[in-house]
Amino acid sequence: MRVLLIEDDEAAADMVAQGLAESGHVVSIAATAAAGMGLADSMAFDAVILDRMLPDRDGLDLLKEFRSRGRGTPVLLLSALGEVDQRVEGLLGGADDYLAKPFALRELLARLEAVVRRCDGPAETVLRLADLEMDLIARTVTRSGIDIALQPREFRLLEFLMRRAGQVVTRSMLLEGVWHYRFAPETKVIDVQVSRLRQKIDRDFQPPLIHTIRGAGYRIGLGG
Amino acid sequence: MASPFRTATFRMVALAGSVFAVSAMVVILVLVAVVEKVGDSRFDRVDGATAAAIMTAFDRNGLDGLTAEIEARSRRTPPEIRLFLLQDAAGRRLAGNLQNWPAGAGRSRSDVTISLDGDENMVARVGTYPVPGGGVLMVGTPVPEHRQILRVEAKALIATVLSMALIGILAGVVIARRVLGRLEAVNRTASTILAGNLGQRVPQLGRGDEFDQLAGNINSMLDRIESLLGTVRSVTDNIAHDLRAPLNRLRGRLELALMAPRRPDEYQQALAAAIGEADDIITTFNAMLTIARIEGGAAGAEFETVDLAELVETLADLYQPLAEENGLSLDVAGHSGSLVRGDRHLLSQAISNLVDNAIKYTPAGGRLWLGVTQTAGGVRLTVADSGPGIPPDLRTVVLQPFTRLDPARSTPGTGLGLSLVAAVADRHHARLSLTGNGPGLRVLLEFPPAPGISSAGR
Repeated sequence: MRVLLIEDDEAAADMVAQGLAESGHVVSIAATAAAGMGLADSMAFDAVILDRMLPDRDGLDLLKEFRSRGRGTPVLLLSALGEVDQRVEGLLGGADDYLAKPFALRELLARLEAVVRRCDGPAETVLRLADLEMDLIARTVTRSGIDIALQPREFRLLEFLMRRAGQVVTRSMLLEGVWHYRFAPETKVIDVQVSRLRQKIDRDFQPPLIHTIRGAGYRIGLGG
Repeated sequence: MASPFRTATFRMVALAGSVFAVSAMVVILVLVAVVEKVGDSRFDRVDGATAAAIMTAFDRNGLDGLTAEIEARSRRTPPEIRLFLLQDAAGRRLAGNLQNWPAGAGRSRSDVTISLDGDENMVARVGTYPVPGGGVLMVGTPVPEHRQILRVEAKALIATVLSMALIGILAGVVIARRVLGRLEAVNRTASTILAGNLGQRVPQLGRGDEFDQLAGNINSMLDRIESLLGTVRSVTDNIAHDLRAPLNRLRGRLELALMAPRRPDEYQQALAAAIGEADDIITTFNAMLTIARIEGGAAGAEFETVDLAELVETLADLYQPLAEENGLSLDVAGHSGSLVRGDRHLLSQAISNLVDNAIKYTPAGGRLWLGVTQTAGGVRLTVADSGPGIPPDLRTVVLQPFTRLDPARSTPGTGLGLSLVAAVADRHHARLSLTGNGPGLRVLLEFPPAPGISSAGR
């Protein structure tokens, strides 16, 4: 997809741009808010990565103007200001997600993917992946027609993964999306939760559906 | 010392003095005017009555009778007591104790100057009354002495008020000098502190007055700043130490990878290890930033009503599998409706840090307890384990940043977990205490009753 990156720190911009390019995205870089707005006006993008601290104006201001012009392009806000209220401010200002620096590149890629997909996900009541079927109304999960009993938290975890089938989901996205917490636990709580789920989904069936993506998180889907 | 005339005290005293002086003068002038007016109207009534009495002679015997009456009265009454003068239509004097018609005597009552014999002048208040047939009768009363005395007295009063105002201003100067002296002491201390000597304190005279209170408050403020600076200094030292070590490892790993040609999988392994080190550094940084944010933030800005029991319930849900994986049982007990005012994210971060610690330090086969109870004093949160515990003399030390009881620092973690809990507790005005659990560690977080919400158990 085409991504507009508005970031004044050249080294950081290059790093992000390279990461995006290696993941198969096309990147345009703007170092100022004005240049960013100009690029956004001249061509269509699938997503915008916007730094809050720009030399010519607050990224949040730019975002508000962008939204007031009726542009619905997903925006991922970046900031060195990791405070909760800053995050809330960003989301209220029209951002689709907010990532505080320093961040892992894989986290950025995963969240970018998530905000782009989120915009066109229909509200389904039955989620399917290969022979895995999840009925959100009846709260049942079957694989190859065999019932799998899941605890409520395992059900929510699987639903979160299934709605993002094929995408990489990071640990912090899981913690945020399934348990609504925003912090980094010092222990491997998330990994244990996923491995529990994986035992029920993958142990007695082929092929494996839940994959660990090294240095990033997890992905549910066919193939490694 | 600065000029006392430029101090706030002097300005206030001078302002109060001027307001007093001006208002006193206004009162005096109004008083004089009122007394004069009352006196004048009394004379006017008496003169009017006298004129009316005289005119009855005209009614009885005409103009001749009137002339005779005035002549009789003039003989009895000297002009210093009362003035009479009658003239005919042509303006000729007919009778009276005055020789000439005084200039300025008109139909309405007014003050005129009358020259008596021997060049003596006298002020009198006179009125004129028309006589049928064209003549005019004038009756008047000399302005009495007391009216003049009143004016003299008014002048004396005003002089008194002015001298009092002057005294007030002088008092202002004296008071300002004294206040200035006390403030100078505060200013001198502040200047010394600005110059870098934070150990200075403002002297207190022990009088218990406002200046002593001010000095006391400034001194407590300075104590607080000094202790905070001390904390900052030791934290900075610890940061330097705790970040230098992983940065050194990171550099070493990368250097090692470049020292000799290696297979791609070896490079991958080295880079992954380097990312791991970098992640640890970032984690430490984030924990530090979070603590700084909690300690420096405006308390209560994003506070909401949080049900601690519900929070603990979901955290237990998150941690249950990990506890089982480590061979630990995790028991949860909570009164639902245990409401506190707080920041949900910070509270869950703090509790999860406590649970993280309990899981990390409790050997397999052990037990963990998570409890929320309502007490008379508010809501109490307990995180307890059956692990090795912390010796009593180290229980306050572990709350300091970067403290780890494990000297080899082999257990993963930033050493900031409990510091963060302490900061969160402080932000929520909760009391954090570490006790033994015979065996193990019991951490208590006691929250004050939330104002405005009923936290009655259901």
